[in-house]
Amino acid sequence: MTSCKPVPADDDDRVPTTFEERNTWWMAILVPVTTLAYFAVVIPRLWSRPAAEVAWVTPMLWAIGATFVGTILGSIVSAMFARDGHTESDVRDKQIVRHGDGIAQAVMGFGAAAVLVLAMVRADQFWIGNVLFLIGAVGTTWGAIAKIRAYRGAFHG
Amino acid sequence: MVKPTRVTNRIRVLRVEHGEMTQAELAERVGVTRQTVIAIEQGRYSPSLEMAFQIARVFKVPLDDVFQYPGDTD
Repeated sequence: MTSCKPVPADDDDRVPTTFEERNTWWMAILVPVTTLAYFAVVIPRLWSRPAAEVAWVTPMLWAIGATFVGTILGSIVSAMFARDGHTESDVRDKQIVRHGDGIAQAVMGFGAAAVLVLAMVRADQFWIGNVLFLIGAVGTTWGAIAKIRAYRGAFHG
Repeated sequence: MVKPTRVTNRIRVLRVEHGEMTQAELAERVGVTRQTVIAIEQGRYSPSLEMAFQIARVFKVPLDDVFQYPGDTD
């Protein structure tokens, strides 16, 4: 696998990450940031009043909107500053994305079960909405981390 | 933790033997990114059978001149 023969000169330059990997890194940062910002706003409200009276819908919509817009802006910036000029995905990118998305979906499946239990015990909408939001964020972040591990380490499909 | 593959390859040697072909050139001819070529060379990614044949075809050699699976003949 390795050789003592010299490598062609062009192989020594810095290897940029692929467009897909840059987007994955951005997601792994953006989603936790917007989620933590949301909970930083909502959790203090929970200390002073019952959950049923806490206003959480508007902050959550802002967090979801910021994540959505941030994802689009991140992709645009990533494409604009792509050192290699390539934004298309190859087969390895697609396999890694599928691998990460599978992990994210497994986490979200667990979250769906948790939400179902909350609905069965007639928990307040606050808890149902926030657990669903949290699991969604955890699943997305976990999936992004799995993709980064696959990009940086070994991935055999 | 992902287990390392036992499949080894001679892509780097073959590139040098074929006019010092760069990773970027090989990637373009196979239709993948340079990062994928690097990952295959380093044994961090196992290509599909189809991609393996494409790589062998670029070097005009049989598949087992590019990829080896130790144990069968050792």
